[in-house]
Amino acid sequence: MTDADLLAKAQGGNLFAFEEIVKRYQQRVYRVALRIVRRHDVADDVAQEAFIRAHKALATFELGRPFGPWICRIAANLAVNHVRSPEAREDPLPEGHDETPAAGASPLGGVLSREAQEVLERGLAALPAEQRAVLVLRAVEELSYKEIAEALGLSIGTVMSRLFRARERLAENLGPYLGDAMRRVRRDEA
Amino acid sequence: VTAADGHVDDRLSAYLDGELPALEQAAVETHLGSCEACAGRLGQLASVDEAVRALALDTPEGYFDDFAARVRGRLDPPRKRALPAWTWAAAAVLLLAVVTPLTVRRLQEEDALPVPAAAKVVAPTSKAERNGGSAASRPADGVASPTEPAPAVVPIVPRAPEPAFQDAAPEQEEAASPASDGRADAPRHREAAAAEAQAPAEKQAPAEAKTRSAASGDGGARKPAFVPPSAPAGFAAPPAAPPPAAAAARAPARGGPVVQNQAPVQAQSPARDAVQDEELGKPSTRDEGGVRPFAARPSSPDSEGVAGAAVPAAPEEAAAGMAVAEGVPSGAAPETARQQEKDAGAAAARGRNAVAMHKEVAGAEEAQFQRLLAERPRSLQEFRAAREAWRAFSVGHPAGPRADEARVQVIAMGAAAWRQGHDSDDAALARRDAAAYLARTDAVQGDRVRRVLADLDARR
Repeated sequence: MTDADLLAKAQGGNLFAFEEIVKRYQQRVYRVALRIVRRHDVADDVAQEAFIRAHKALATFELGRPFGPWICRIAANLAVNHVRSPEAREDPLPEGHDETPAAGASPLGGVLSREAQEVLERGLAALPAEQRAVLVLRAVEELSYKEIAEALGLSIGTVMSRLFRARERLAENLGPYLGDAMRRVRRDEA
Repeated sequence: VTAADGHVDDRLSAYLDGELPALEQAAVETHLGSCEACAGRLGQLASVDEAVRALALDTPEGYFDDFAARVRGRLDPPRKRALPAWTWAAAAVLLLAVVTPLTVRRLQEEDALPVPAAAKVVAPTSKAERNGGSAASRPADGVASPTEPAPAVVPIVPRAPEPAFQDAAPEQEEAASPASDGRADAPRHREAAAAEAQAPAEKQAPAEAKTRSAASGDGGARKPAFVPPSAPAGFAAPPAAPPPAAAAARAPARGGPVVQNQAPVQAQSPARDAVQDEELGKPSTRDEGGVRPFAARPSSPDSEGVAGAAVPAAPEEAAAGMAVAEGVPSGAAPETARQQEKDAGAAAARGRNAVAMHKEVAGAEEAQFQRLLAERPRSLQEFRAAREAWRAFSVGHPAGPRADEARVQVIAMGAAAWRQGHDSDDAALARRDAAAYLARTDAVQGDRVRRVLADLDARR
């Protein structure tokens, strides 16, 4: 059954159809949330809330459009709002890492050293939440600048500049490791 | 396009995403072809994206197993959407509850009428019958008597409150009039045509009035007043009269019985209201033909008896030159039977729809219940989620057959959550839930809940 079929049923009040939609997108939504808020418990709340909001607004959703970008935008918006909130500021990010490289997920991921992974984690955590959100939505979810701007209530120019700064900072942090990793990837590919 | 230093660093990010305007995109591409530094920088930026994508999620084992269920548990029950289904079902039931007693009542009334008529056909002995007070006497007469009442005209008035019958009444008149007698046909038909425009008092059966007035020396003086100036002189082919077949087809939908009842009573006491008339009046054979359709009781012995009485009348009337009238009683029965079947079928369909809707809703509720029941929470988080899922279920189906068990499950899951994490908030919530449950008058598992409470206290 397609997303549109399930969403049509969900729009008609079928909770089980919506539950199936949740199952299809739960990891993606959670991933967006976690990469922005950096804490599992908060990401869990954000991801659930994103689906609940989506369900409430389901009547306005056009069935012909993809659900993924829509729900990811909702999740990103909630996550950024959370990070901006006073509550989040009083509750700083934990030292521990919530993310680890996925073995074999990509050539680069597979060859990034543990140290490089930690540097990347720290670099991501150090980014302002808005930059992190823009980077996640673009690099991971592959949303367009326009979609990111709509999701976060920013102008496209702001999206462009924040994305540029986020990449620059991470590139500076990861520069040495990326060079090694890229060379290893090229060698493996050869 | 290039910066002061000749490089394009500030545009590499947007270039990477293909978000630059076409001209800038082309310019950056040209620059990259000749600038190794910028090309290297672009590679680094792309690597950052790839590194970020490569980061996997470190989630607790089984985290996603019940994520969707937890979300579902927090969703508002689709009350707005469920309501219509229940509303339709309730409306259907209400409709049946209203229509059925009315129909039964009418059937009972109509059913009671044919009996004396049938008896009269077989052996008309009563004085009223001999006097032509009932159309049932016509078969015995062979040819309708000039003094025979024409009840068909009368019924329209008393039936006014019931739209279906009201609509049918005028046509009933047309169909019933021909069935009267050859001599009275023309005047009766004219009366029938004018019936709708006449005041209730004026609509009294003209033929009957004529009969009775003749007996009383009235001379039928009222009759001309009912005849419109333009009314056709003959009944055989009145311009406004429907074809026999059409009349016969419509006949079943008419309020025949009322007519019969009223005619005699009216003649005796015009001041009486319709209800009294119905109670006191007697049916005629012709009317029975019209009544049967409404009676909608093909299997009823009484109805069959009536039909048996009505059918024989047709040939006799036809022999008297009333071919048109002939079709009314005999043709009406099958038509009305079909109509009855149609109505009964529609009612049954409505009932089936209501039942189907009810089953669908109940099925969804049961399925949700079983799914919740099948869940096996293991961690504190899962027990809490289960508790809230059960709570959502109990709120969503407060009157359902599983509501009581769902309320108990809320308490049980809350207690289990406390046992799992020893969080005093969980224990407090479980106690509140238990107290709320035990305060209910419809709680049927009080002992079980009290045991859960006792266990909570024992472990504290």
